[in-house]
Amino acid sequence: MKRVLRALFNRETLWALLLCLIVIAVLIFSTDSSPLWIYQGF
Amino acid sequence: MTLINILIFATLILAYRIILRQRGRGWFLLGLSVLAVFWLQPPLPIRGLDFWLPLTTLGLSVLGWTITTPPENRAGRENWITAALLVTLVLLIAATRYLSLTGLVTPSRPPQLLLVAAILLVLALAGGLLARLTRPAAAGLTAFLVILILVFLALKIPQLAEQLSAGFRSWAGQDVARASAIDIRWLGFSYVVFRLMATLRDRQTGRLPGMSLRDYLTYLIFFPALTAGPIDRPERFLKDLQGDRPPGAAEYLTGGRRLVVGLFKKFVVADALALLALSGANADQIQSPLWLWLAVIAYAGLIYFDFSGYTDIAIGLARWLGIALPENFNHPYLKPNLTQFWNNWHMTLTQWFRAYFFNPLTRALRGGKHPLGAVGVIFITQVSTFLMIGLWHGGTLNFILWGLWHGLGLFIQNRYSDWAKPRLAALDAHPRVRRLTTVAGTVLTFFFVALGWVWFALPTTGQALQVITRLFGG
Repeated sequence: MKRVLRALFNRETLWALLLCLIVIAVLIFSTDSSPLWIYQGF
Repeated sequence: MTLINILIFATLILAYRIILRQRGRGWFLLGLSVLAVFWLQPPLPIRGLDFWLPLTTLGLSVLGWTITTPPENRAGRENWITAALLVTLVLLIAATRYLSLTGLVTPSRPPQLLLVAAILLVLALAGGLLARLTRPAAAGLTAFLVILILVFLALKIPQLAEQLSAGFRSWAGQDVARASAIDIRWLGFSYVVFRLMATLRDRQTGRLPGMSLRDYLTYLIFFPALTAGPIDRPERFLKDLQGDRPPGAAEYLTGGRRLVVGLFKKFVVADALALLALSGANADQIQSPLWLWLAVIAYAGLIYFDFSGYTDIAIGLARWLGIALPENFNHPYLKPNLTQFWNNWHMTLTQWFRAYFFNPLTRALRGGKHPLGAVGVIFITQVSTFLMIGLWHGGTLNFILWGLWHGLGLFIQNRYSDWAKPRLAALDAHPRVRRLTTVAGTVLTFFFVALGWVWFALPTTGQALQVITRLFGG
């Protein structure tokens, strides 16, 4: 299990994950209009 | 935090891990946390305040470190570098006023660079003098605690906050008549101050571990937990911070899973529930008791998914940085009684109150020349602790009533369980009946908590009372 995980999360996958996050960020950049978090008001 | 904030944090953490792996982690965490203090602050109508409040957060944090650190540990290369980094970052943030008219890192355009530099110089001189001339004395710690509590109250009690806003407005040359309590929304203040108070109390009782300025500041303003907790304990956080093992594949997986679960809880479940949850706006419009109950239950779901989603995100991001933040929720709505509910809801806040308020108060009431009886002690400690927890949320009558609701509820449940324990023990021979009582207890606890949220969700006591009456057909 540990070996599979290590193979899964190598530097290359982290790069891929990073790229995904950037793409998602670009997609939602203009539609980010969620209500405020309740507990950030305290 | 918005979705964009979260994604940018996740991106920066991954980029750091790919490029630097573990090198300079302490500096990376501090630098990003300082930027986050300014970046996450919401815009305020009073000119410059959304820059000065984050700067005050940093100032209070440095003051907290100076007061709690013995003089022999205040010097040292790393502390000087930290101080220099802080000043440089603040100046750089202020200098963004020349790059944008609306603010790049700050919510609005930062104030004049020269003014910021002059204030930093004064703060640095005052801090330097304090560090040179003082020792961590009991009186200093207590005085700082009292000041923090007073500032806390001034911000939490709407009437005082409005006065404060009027003061700031006249200072900034703005219309005083438009002053309002919501002018001073100081991001993360409740959480930062509670961590700060924990270090002051731990210093007084001799439990505070030795911390460098960098580690102390990172503890107070650690960016995933900056805006809504969890409120970690200093010694636990420090252990993770000083660990130098980079997270392995398993941590990326668990952290990533928490992040995804948190995003789903907030942006899918909570934001959908927000459409039908009880609010000041819809409370008067809902006619039938059945729909009103639905709105109350939706609010109970909303507040859980919103807050526990935030905690999941904070824990997930921190896990990628090698820091295991404490849990804040453990299926609270599935607990069979109120005591267990509170042991599993906003756990880090209740643990804070237990350690720094409830336990010392219990010791004080039970000891001394005239110790109180056990029942009296339970009543006073539970009700006063929950009044304090109510006040932490805000100094309005509704939050006080919400605290009282839970304090009295806990006391009644405590007395009942004392009475019922021997009687319920007889049920152990009948597991089905036993399970039935547990289910009944869970349902009762949920509805008690859900009714309590009415005080919490609505702005005025009159409206809350009206909703509670209408829930029961009145």
